[in-house]
Amino acid sequence: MWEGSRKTAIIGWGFSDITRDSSRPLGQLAVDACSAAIEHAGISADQIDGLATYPDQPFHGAPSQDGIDLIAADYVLDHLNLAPDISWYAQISTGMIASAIGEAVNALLAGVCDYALVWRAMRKPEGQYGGWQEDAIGGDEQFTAPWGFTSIIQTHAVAYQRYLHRTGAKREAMAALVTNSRRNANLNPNAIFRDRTMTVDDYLAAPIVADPLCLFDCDVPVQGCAALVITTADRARDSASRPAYILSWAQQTAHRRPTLYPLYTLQDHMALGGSTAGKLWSRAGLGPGDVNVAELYDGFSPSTYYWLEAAGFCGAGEAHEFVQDGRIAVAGGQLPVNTFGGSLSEGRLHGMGHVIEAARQVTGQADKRQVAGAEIAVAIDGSPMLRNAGIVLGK
Amino acid sequence: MAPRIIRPLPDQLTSPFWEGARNGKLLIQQCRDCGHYNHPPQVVCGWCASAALEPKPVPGTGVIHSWTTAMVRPGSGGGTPSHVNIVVELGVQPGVFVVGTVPFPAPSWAVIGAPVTVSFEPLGDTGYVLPQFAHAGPGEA
Repeated sequence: MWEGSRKTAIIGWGFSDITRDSSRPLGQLAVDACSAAIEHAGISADQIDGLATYPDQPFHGAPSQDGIDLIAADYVLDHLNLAPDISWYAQISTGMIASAIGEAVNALLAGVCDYALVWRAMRKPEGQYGGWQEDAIGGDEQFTAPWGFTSIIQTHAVAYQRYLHRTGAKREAMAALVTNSRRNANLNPNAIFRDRTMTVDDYLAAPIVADPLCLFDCDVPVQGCAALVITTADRARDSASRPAYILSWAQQTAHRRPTLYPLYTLQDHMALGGSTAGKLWSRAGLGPGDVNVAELYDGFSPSTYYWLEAAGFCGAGEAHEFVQDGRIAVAGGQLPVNTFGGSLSEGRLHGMGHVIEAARQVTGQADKRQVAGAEIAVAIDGSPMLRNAGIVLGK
Repeated sequence: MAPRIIRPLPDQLTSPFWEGARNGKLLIQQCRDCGHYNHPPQVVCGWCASAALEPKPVPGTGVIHSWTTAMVRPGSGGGTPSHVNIVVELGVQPGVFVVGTVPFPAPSWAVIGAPVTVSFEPLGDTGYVLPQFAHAGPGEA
């Protein structure tokens, strides 16, 4: 077990308004989310002396003006009344938001800050999301885009097509997972789709976007920000909040041979996902059988299948069966999954929604979605074949 | 709707691939030291870190590893894809993938596991040539 296990804790979190348009500037939303998290943690802004984020936007050709298109560390440093001269910050460009959380945990363990603020701000630009403007392309994409293979959705589609071929699964099986997330979102006042239900028939009637992925297999792009506050376990115990102790965090660090990265082939999802999950379990000193709630990334729905397998919640090729028959439901499920609605139905906060819901569950703050007796929760963001990171939280 | 034409921007590493295609050859970078192929081309070998890398003509045979349709814009209520993309795993080495384009709806031979062989098609009037793939099985075109 990792010596840092249970020595830090998430003590507060907050969200901005989350919208499907860009009517409010991202900079305002970030200030709202960070302020809400600080308030929820029961501290004052000038106690925050550490910052970490993963600011990049996940679409091709994303612009990068700080405060408008993304929220970098500098923006929060300059716009909130934090400690006069904060003592530490980090801004990561790999590994998704759980990697930024991991940096903050390490900084707290190293004693270089006392209260770290971590946020993830997502921009929803006007017009077609991720639309290509160029008529010429270099880099790895010159080996895909000239063939008319230009979309991140296609890259996930070819991996999922391979999954269906390899396992004999039918795409209809995914309805169980997607409608489970929607039912959970209907209990989450923060979710984009809180008021819209989805039946299995609705799922099956959805238009195919990139075969075999349909519209409802894709998460919903939003504009918004979510933030959380982390501190050391001794400070957490003395705080007014209910701490979610950090049992472990981990990144995907397996060596990957050169391959055509614009293609996310299924080839190595067990090995690459296992790189993250194996470290999560060994550092926390527990295994998948000890987990009560799993918040597993669903930027595209098949990623949740891959995580169920790679993290050992079921065998390789079995996730399409595992998600059936209420096994992943909040009420009475063997392993409630994406209890807040996931990115599919809450909105694309790029893993931060998953982390915050895990914290809510282990601290008994998940309201109508509360899983009875939840003591251990895992949140993993990113897809196994790509950069990814995760965190295990405990009561 | 025909796919919008996007041309490559070759650089020092990738221009041999594009020059090869123009001359009807599929060139995949190979390491002179360990013999592994690297695609896309690398500065040093991803298997042994050697810098002794060279573009190598390969047979251009492989199997369809996976496929998808061209993306139809999410939220648009559907539509007809302009084409199907196939992912081909070349026979020279497991894990060496290239993409190809076939019409939508896909011809009946275009299924996972089908053997394919390379052919070369101009990319519009850009002056570039794309390696494409057609069925290699007996008795079918």
